Amino acid sequence: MTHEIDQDESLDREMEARLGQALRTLPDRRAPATLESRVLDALAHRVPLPWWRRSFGEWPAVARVAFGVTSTVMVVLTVLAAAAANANLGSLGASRALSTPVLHDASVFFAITRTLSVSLTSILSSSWVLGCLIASAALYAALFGLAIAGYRTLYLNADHEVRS
Amino acid sequence: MFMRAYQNMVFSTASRLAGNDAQAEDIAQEVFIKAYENFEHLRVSATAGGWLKTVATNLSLNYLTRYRKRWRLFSESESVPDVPLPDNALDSLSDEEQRTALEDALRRLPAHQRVPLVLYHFEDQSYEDIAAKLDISLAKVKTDIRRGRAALAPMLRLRGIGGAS
Repeated sequence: MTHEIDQDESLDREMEARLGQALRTLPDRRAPATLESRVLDALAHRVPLPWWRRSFGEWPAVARVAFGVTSTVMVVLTVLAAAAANANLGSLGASRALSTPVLHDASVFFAITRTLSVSLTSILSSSWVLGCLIASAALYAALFGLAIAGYRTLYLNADHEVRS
Repeated sequence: MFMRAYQNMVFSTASRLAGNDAQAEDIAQEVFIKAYENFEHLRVSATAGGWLKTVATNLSLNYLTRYRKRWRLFSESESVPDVPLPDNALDSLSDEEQRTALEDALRRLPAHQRVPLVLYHFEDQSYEDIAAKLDISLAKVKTDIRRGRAALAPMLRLRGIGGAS
C-alpha cells in the first residue's frame, strides 16, 4: 500500500517535471494584428482631462509648489488683515469718529466679537477647550469610519455582485 | 515600440488563462491602456515586463471571477474532454505543430484545471498562493492541477519528452 502511494507520488513528480519542461518551451503566441490598432483607437477616443481637473498628485510640480505658496500667503494675509481690521475698526468705533454707516456697523460688529471672545476666554478653562477639541476629533474619526463602511458596503459589495 | 515588444507576452498570458482569444485580446487591450497611464514609470523601468505580466494575470483572473458562479457549477460536473489521442497519431508533426497542439490542448482544458495549471507552470506560483488567489482549497488546487496534467499527458508523448510512450 505504502509502496503504491510512493509510486503515485513519484509518477506525479515525473509528470510535473515533464509538463513544466514542455510548457516552458512553448513560445509566446502571436498577438492578433488588430491589437495594436485597437489600443491606439481606444487611447485616441479617451478625452484627456486638463491637469487642473486631475488629482493634485498629477499636477505639474511647478503648479503644486505655486499652489502651496499661494495658499500659504493667502492664509497669512487673511489672518493679518483680520487682525488689523479688528484693531483699527475697534478703536475707530470706540472713538466714534466714523464718517460712514458701513464703517460704523463694521466697528460695532468687531467690538461685539472682541467682547464675546474675551468673555468666552475668561469663562472657558483650557481643559474644556481641550475636551472640545478631542470631541471634535472623535466625531471627525467617526464620520470618516462611517464613510468607509458605507463605501465598502454600498459600493464595493455592489461591484462584487456585478462581477460574480 | 514598447507595445510591440510586449504584446505577444501579454496576449499569451491572457489567452492561456482566459482560454478564449477574443477575451484575451480585450484583456490585452486593457493591459496596454493601463500601461499607457503608467508609461512615465514603465518606460524607464527594468521590470516593465513583469508589471505587464502581473496586470495581465490579474485582469484575466478578474474576467474569470465574473464567471465564477458558472465556473464553480461546471467544475463539479465538468470532466476532462475525452479527446482520444492514439499514441502515434501525431508523431509525424513538426515541432511547431506539436507546440500548437499542446497549446490547443491546454486551452481546451476546463477553466478549473487550466487556470491553476497555468499559474503553477507559467507564473511559478505555489499551490498555496494559487489557492489563496482563486479562493479555493489547497486540496482542490492540487487535484485540479494533477487532473490537468493527466489530460495533457498524451501531448507530452507527442513532444517526445521523457520517452513516456
